[in-house]
Amino acid sequence: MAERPEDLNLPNAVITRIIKEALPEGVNVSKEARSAISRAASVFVLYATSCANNFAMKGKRKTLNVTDVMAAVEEMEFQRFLTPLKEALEAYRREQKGKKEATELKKKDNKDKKAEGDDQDRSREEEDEEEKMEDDEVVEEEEVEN
Amino acid sequence: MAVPESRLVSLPLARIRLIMRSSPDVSSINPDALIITAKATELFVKYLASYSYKHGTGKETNTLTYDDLSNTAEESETFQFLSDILPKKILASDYLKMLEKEEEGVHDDDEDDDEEKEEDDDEEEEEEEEEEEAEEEEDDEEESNDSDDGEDEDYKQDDDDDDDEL
Repeated sequence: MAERPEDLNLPNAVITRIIKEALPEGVNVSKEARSAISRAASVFVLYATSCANNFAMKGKRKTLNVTDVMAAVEEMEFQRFLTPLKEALEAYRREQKGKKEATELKKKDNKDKKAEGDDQDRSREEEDEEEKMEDDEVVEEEEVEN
Repeated sequence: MAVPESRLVSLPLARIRLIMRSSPDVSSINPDALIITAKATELFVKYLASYSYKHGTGKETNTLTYDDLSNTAEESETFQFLSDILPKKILASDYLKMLEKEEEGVHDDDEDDDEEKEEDDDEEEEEEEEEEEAEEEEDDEEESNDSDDGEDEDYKQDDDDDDDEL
């Protein structure tokens, strides 16, 4: 949990980079302006969360979900964010799916290798048995001779 | 497996979750909802910066200042919720002038409206408090007079460019 007020700040370096991305090159952002934007971003998160939570409560849900956040963003009059947000979510889900498939593929690979190993073991055992049988036959033959 | 971490969101998710959890009544957050909130915050930072720069006063000098941001909070309805944390800066000397004006107004009321005497009493109390504050600010002003001189002009230009559309 947040114990100190600065725990609710967002990292300055990241905020500065995001600001730089949004402005034309060479624009100088005063230190005061940077910290003000950072504070504004924290307030935005709180405001969005409280709006989203209202929607979740209306729906009698305890967990905030994507539709709650989307509805909150819309209610806050940031409709312009909705399309990029949907795109980001789709990209994120694709990425997650890709990761999942990759790990599943890896697992499968491992299993195959293991299976191959088993096969080799088994064939060796079989060979052993055959050798044994041959030995037995030899012993039998010897007995007959006696 | 080319990228080890998701580069879709640059803000730290743990921190965003901490801020969200600090809001009362919020118990759990869906992971997708967290990603979306982080992304929305990023878009918000970009929008606030570019909007304030576009409507601000520093386009010739290529600067974005605090005053541009507080103007945005004051002028734009969408950014209104920021007005408490981005208050407009005001020079102590201007504040004193405002107080003087208010004072005159209150005295006029005293003479004219006997019926509203009770209200006037209340106002006078408030006024006294404000005067105390003003004295404190006066001291501040004397100390920082030199550095404030340059900023004076900025405040007069406040209303430039504000009627552009979003």
